Amino acid sequence: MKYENYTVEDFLAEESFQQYCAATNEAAIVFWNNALEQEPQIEETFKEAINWYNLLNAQQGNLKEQTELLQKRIHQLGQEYNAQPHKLIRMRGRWWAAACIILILCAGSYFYLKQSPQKQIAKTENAAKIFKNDIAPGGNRAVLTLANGSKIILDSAKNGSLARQGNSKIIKLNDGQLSYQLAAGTEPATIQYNTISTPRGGQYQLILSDGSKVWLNAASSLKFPSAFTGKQRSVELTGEGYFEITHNAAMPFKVKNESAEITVLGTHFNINAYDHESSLKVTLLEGSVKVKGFSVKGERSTVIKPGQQAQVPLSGDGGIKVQAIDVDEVMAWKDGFFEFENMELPAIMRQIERWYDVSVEYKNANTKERFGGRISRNLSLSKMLHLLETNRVHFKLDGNKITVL
Amino acid sequence: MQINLDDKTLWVNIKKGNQAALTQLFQRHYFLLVKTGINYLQDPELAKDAANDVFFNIWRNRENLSDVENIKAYLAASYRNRIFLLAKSDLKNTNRLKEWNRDQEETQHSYEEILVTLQVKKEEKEKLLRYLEQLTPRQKEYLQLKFYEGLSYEQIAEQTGQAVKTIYNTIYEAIKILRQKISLKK
Repeated sequence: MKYENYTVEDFLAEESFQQYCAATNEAAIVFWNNALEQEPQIEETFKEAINWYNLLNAQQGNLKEQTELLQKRIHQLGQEYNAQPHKLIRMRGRWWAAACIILILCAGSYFYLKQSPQKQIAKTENAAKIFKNDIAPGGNRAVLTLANGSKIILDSAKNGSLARQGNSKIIKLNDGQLSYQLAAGTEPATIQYNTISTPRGGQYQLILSDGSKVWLNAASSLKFPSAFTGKQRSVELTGEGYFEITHNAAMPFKVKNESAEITVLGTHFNINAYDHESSLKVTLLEGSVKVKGFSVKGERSTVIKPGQQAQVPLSGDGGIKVQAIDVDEVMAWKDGFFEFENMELPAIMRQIERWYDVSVEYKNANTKERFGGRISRNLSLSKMLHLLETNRVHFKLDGNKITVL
Repeated sequence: MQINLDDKTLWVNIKKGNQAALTQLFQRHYFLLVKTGINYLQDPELAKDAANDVFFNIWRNRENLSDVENIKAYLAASYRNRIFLLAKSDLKNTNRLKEWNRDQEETQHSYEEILVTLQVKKEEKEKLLRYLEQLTPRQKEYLQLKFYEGLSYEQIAEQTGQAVKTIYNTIYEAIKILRQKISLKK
């Protein structure tokens, strides 16, 4: 119990503590993180000392966080450059597709992203003039509800350890990431179920205690245990999530939902289980998964291969439909894009509703027209609508309501 | 293993597309830039964002970078431009920014002034100023060198000719005095 009796002054006056706060020395970061892990009771004093450090240091920030932020931005920049422009096709019917190339939707998005800041602002102003108001795109927002009912708002929580449950620790990593870690060399004690939920316009990433990663799209939730024990790893999903499951043949991973149960040993797959869509869709990227669907007529199950999508109807008693699918389109949301391939306007607008937290109404619009294209999810709503409008669809934006004219 | 290269070598490497060189240059200059920003702004987040933007833009334009003789001066100028662009629409910053004109000498605000400016609430500003004034000039100087300039005890000892132990004790006492008056518990 080395630091148990340390006061705020004791911490603050230590050079290695100062290096920890500014993150200028990797060894100091490791050292104090270990100390915190071994003596969790010092946390309150430790945090107060950090507050004092930030005050006296005039909030110059943390070198590690800032470096990571820069690297993340550069990484995203790379992705923007790599995104190949897709051609926008406006179709009057399936057979007429190729004849009707009107505009390159993604080139628009691509073009926007590559402009200098001043020009971007000018463009926004233009777009804003067309629409009465503007709405910012969604971001990393989520709420974690612990087993005891307490709620942690993750977007405003500071990075670092948020809570402890038995031998597991909940840690907020960089922006938009939450991690569950089991203390080294310990067995999971009592298992507690927590729920992470994203609002409309939110997304979040979670690393479960077995190392499996889950990306949660907007308006979604995942109920999961603080640690996995027993013969299977089981979680519950609503909305949409992409899973990268750590292989463990002895403990299959199950994702459950009212309508389906997906069983895997270790693989990458996406589940789209929004209530207001017509079917629950499981898309497989790697490995293999078993999809079991529940309907009024009983259970049906199927196994799908990479590149295939299983569609479990959410109403009626139809069977599970399996088809080959463009995986990039399904996964675009995780990489920060909307991707539409030959998609009817209402399906596009449902994604917009979830990401910008708006509602959509239709007035005389032809909802059977189909569109295609790839657009960044970082655009403000007015820019997004402006891009869609280049295809002779027209919108009115009034507060949180979009009317398709 | 990181090998410390001089700024000009890093610059050449950045132009060749070496991201590690950018990281090294960023880490070397980050605190220097942010300190000049905080000197003029009420908004530390803006000061940090602008520093990040400068290096992000260097990377984005790496293929078209010209040769720069004095990297430090170049970074300082880019940083100032970035701050002016970001703060333009932000009224609360404009008064102080006026002091930071291109043609004028830079004004270095006192440590107390900077700390007080960063407090958002009026009563907190007054409280902090009142208690900082109760510290001795030496206590304030050491706090500034330690926490604001980020010097090590060794470096402060070298600069002031005092023993490390003396500096440690002075800083320890100063924090203790402030702590009796101000609570930062959350």
